Amino acid sequence: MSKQITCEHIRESLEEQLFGRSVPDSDRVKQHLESCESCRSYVTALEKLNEVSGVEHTLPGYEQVRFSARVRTRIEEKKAARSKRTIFARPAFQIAAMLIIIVSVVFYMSNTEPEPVFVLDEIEHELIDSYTFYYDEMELVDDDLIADLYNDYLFGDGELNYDVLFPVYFDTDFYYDINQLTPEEIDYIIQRLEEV
Amino acid sequence: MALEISDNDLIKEFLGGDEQSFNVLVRKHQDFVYNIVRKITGNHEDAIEVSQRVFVKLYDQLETFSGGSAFTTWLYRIATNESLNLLRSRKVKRWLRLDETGREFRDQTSDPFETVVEDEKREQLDRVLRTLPDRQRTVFVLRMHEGLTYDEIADILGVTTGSLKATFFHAVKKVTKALENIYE
Repeated sequence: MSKQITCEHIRESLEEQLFGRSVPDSDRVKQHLESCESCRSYVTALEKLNEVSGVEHTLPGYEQVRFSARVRTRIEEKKAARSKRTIFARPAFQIAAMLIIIVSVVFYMSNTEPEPVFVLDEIEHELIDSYTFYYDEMELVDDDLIADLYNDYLFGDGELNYDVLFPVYFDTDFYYDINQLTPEEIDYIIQRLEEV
Repeated sequence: MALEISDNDLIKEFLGGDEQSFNVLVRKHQDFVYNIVRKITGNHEDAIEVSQRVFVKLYDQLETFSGGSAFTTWLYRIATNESLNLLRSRKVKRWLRLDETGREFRDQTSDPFETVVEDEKREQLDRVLRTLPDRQRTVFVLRMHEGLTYDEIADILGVTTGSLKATFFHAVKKVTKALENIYE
């Protein structure tokens, strides 16, 4: 047990030394290296890797010039798309939306067989949250599922949590930007969620 | 020179309405972002795409930057997450069989000004890194290439340091072994 802990500590110290940071107990590190073949081979590996890893990637010359212009173009495109959507932030629209929701709820509660199909495309460019992720051309097929997606799965700070959404398929705890999912992928996810 | 203005000053100017300051911020950090993203994604084409996404996202989120952590740490986080997002979306596409062409990582770096030796080193390392799982490769890049501490990496990736140490250790072993095979 102690050997494993010591080796881990020593390895971290060796890494820190490699990066030029001072480490406490450097004498202890040296002593350990004298007696531990595994850590000696590790430091050798680190030194070799350090030579190769020193290579830096820089944008090629032609990209250097146009990169910021491309970024600016994308930003302006996004702004333009967003400004189209601001209609949905207007009070008149919000009141109308609220009325529709109220009527829908009343209708739903008074009707035993509600219409199951809900097409997000009908509320084009719906503003989901402050990160402004939008869904166009996305057809959802179950009202309850939509609620689930909104409340529990798809929208966590504007990002899709793979841990939650793909607990079976992806061994990861990183977040996923919902903007990058295609409508087909969303549909597929919904199908899988329905199965769950 | 504009590039010598501090990040915090540029951010303040941008938030004060000076859009040009953002362009300066991009030019100042474009190589930094490209370098990280390039190492994680493994090819130039994806790195360009992701690097642009990073700055678009930065533009949207800059007003939330509190200055509590270093600006570069923030950039690391966005760059890392965007890179992993791209790689993950590839997996989803493969999984869904939407991308039957099986678009694989391609190395299309074609800067004529880089030396042949550096290109060779870069390609060898890229090739080896591509064999690592995305997450392991990311940890390796942030630790070995960027020299970040485990605490910093944990902060960027939102994981505990304990798992990172083991991940890095195994990555070092794998990469070393693979490089030895290449050089043999």
